[in-house]
Amino acid sequence: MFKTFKNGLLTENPTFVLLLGMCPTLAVTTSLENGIGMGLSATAVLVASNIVISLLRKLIPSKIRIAAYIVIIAGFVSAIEMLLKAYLPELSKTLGIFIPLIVVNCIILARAEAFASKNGVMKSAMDGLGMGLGFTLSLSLISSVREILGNGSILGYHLFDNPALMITLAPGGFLTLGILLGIINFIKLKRKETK
Amino acid sequence: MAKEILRLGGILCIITLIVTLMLSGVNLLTKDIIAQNTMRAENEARAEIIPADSFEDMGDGIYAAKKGADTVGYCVSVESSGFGGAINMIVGINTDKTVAGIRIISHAETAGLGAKAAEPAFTDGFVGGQLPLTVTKSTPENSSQISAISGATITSNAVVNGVNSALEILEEKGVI
Repeated sequence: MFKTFKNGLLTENPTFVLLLGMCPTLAVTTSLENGIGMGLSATAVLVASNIVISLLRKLIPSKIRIAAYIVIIAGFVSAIEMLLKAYLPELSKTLGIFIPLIVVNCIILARAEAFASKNGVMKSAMDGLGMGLGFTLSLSLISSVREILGNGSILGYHLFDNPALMITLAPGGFLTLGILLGIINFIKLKRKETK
Repeated sequence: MAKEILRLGGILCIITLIVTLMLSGVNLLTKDIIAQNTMRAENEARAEIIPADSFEDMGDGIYAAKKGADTVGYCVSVESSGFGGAINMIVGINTDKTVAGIRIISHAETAGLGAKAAEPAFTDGFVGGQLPLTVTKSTPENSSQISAISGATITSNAVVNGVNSALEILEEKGVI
C-alpha cells in the first residue's frame, strides 16, 4: 500500500517522470500559493475519481470507458466547484479558475485508465493520493523558482525589486520546467552510476 | 452488431444520466447560497468603495450612495470583456465625476498576471481618477492615467474600459 503511495510521489512522479499535466503545470506555477492551491485541488479530485472508477470498474464496458471516465471526472469537478462557491466562498475565490482547469488535467484520466480501472479501491485511493501529492510537490518546486526569480517574492512576501519578469511568462515556464527536468534526470543518472 | 451499439450507448447514457442528476442535485442545493454570497460580496464592495449610510437601488445595476438625504456618489455594476472571459466589477463614481474606487467581483484572468487586477495594488490606483481614464505602460503623468499591469495589458485595458463605461451608464441614465 505504501509502495503505491511512494510511487506516485517520487518514482513515477507525474510531472518529472510521467510528464503528464504539462499544460496546467506551465500555466499555474507563477506563484507558490497558486501551485499549492492547484496541486491540492487536483489531489482531491484524483482521489475521488480513482475511488469511484475503481468501484465501477467491473460495470463499465471497455469500449466506452474513456467517455465514461471523462463524464465522471467532469461531474466531480463541477460538483466540487459549486460546493466550494456555496460553503467555502473565500477559498473558492482564492482557487478561482484552478478548479475548472482540473478537468483538462491529463493526470486524472491517465491514472483512471492505467490504475483505477485495474485495481481495488484502497490501492486506487493510495495511487490517487500519491500522484496528487507528487503533482503538488513538483508544482511547488517549479512555482517557487518562478515566483522568486520572476516576481521577487515568495508566498506573497516581497524579497527584492526588479525581478526577471519573463520567468513568470510563458517562456520562463518552459525554461524552468526543462532545466529542472534536466537537473533531476542528471541526478538520477549519477545515482545509477554509483550503484 | 446493432445490439452491441445499443448496449454500449445505453450504458453510457445511464452513466451520464446519473452524473447529470447528481449535478442538478448539487446545483439545487447550492444555487441560493451562491446567489446570497454574491449579493453579500457586492454589498460589501459597495460599502468599501463609498462609505455611505445607505444604498438606494436605482435599477440597471446602479446604486445611489446616500448620506442622509443627499446622494454622494453612485456604485455601478459593470461587466467587461477580459482576456479569459467576463470581468464583473463594481465602480464607484463621486458626484464630481471622479472615481471613488473599484472592486473586482469575479474574473477569469490568468493567475499571477491578469489576476493581479483584483488586488489593491492595482485597484487602489483608480481612486481619485479623472474620468475618462486611459492606460499607460509607463508611470502615470496625471490622474487620468492608469499603469498597465506588466504582462497583462488586455486585462488592464478591460478594467479601465469598464470603469469608463460606468460613467457612460450614469450619463445615459441622466443622474450625473
